[in-house]
Amino acid sequence: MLEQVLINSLVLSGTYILIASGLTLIFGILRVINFAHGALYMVGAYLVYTFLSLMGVNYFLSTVMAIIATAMIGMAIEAGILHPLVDKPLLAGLGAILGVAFIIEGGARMIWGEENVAIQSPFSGVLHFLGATVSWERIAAVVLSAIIVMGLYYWIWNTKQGYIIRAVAENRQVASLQGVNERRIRLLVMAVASGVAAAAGAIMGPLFYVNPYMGGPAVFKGLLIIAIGGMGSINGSVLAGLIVGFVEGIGYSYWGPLTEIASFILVILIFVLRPHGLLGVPYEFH
Amino acid sequence: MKRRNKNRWIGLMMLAGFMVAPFFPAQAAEPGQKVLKIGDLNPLTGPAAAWGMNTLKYLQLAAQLTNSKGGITVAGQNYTVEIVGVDDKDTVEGGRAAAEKLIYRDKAKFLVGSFRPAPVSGWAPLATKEKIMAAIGGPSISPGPKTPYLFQCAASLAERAEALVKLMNKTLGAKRALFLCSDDLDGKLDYEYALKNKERWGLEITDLKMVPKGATDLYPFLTEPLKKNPDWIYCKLAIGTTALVVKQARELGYKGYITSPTSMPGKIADWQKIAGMEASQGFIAICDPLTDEGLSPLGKEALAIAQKTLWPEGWVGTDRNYNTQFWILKEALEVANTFDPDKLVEVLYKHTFTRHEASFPLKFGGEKTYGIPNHTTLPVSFSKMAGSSVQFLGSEYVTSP
Repeated sequence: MLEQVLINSLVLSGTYILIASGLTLIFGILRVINFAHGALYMVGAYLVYTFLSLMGVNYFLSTVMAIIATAMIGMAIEAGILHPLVDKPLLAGLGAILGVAFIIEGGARMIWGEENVAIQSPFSGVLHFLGATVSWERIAAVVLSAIIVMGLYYWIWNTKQGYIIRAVAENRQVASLQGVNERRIRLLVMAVASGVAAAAGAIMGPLFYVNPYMGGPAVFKGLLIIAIGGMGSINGSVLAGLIVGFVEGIGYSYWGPLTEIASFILVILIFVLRPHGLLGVPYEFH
Repeated sequence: MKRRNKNRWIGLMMLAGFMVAPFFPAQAAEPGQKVLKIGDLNPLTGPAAAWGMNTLKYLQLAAQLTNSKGGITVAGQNYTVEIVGVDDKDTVEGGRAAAEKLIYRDKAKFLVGSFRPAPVSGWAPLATKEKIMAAIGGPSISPGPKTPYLFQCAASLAERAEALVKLMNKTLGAKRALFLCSDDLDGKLDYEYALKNKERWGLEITDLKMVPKGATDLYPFLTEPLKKNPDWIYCKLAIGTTALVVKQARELGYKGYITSPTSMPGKIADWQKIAGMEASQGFIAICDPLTDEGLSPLGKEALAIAQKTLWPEGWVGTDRNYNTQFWILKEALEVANTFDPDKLVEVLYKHTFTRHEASFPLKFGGEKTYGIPNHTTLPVSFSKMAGSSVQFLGSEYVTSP
């Protein structure tokens, strides 16, 4: 029984980490709280549904196509909305991105309707492991999430491009003086983060269902996790995602409705002791 | 500069005009004119939208059918019926806002809906204050002495729960249930009613889990309770979440019955894609038998039209009570021959109504239980999923003394 609860919690954590990692990447580099991230997660899931269920493309190719399409949407948002608002008051950017989120949600309702739809998973069956039962869908979700997050981490910390991105995050003016094309970096980061959101939608969609409202709760949870973990810190998002996933997984199994109260007490304690999050550092909005 | 200022002023005046215009709507129908507006309040967005949109479509079908047969005649004046649907957003505030629009802007003479307690609690006081007759078609808050113009035309939450327990006990010998209820007013009312009556019902509640709205990973809510091996799961959740309960409970190895005291999903194929075709077999929910046996001629005609126009892709036609409210209001108007709400109430208390969706008549009662006889006592019918369709299981009458 405890093994089952722990495995449940790990799957829940995987969901949260994947969503939070894209959000924290955008914040870390663009210094924008991307309220549209949940909408992009939802669009990614719907695109997979469209390619797979309506056009007969296989799941993996549908996922790749959805990631590319969503990345392009993300780049359009950066070029058309966020970039013009760089150096403008913070609330202008937040308001604009919130508006984008609502537009995307409304557009999804018009295109795909209100009802829940299913993405057929290529994985079926269950595995009995250490006294617990877990579906192959969930195992795939955890494994794919881990691969994506590790890939993101490797890209940021172990590649030349990642080095340049971190330079822009630290001081974009100095990076520009060194010859870095800041605009191109912003587009790249937004494309990658949007692609990660779409990947999250493609991975989680088959486990549950897809509807136009799935982005809101996802972005809310993601924001909470990146705040707990430390804004801009992928490591922090991983740690926070694990903490929140396990608190909820264990809590809902044993404590019922008290779980939400317990979760928020934990959040408050973390912020009191570590105001910038568990692994965060002081930051400025440029 | 002068021209720019002039353009700016013109623009500002136009903007002001657009902002003020909604407060001066075109003159709506008054009694005695030829259009009778009936307002429909139900969720048209959000997790419960599937039910809300179905209700609206059924009501519109009933109105169109009525209009094609000459409309409704009251006190010698003929009316065509118009259904005005407004989203109650499944919330108290949404219900209130929707009712205000329907009553004050659209000048609706009657209201239909909502089928969930929260929005009803938002609009019922307003409808009562304005003496607007309202018919609820779903398992929401039951009418009481404070809402004398509110009539419940379908089985209440409590009756659905009781009927389901009776069916499971009598027909399937299942006495031990896991309760999964939404963590909102709806779910709490359901559970409290079950707790209060479980001895009388012969029900053992093995566990209760309150599931937060929008939850999709249900393993934490199922893992421990399923170890107690309940005979059945009572699932009072949104229809999509119920599909996930079916899917995830079967993944965890649960072999017992999974049920819902709400309507069977209409688009069964889509629902089964979420739950899994194999996992969904045997799922039990409210669903009338799929034949037109015993229906009135009007009922048969309505069903045939619905099957052709509303569900060309194969809606199962579940829970035909969706337009009961309309037929009741229509018949009450024709018998009372007046729009006076107090005279209409008298008719509603005394008259036996033709039910076009099923073969048994409908009367209002329930005074001993609810303090006011604004409540129908109806049998609740259940079916189970079999293949990509449903198989009728039986109906249970629940007495509201």
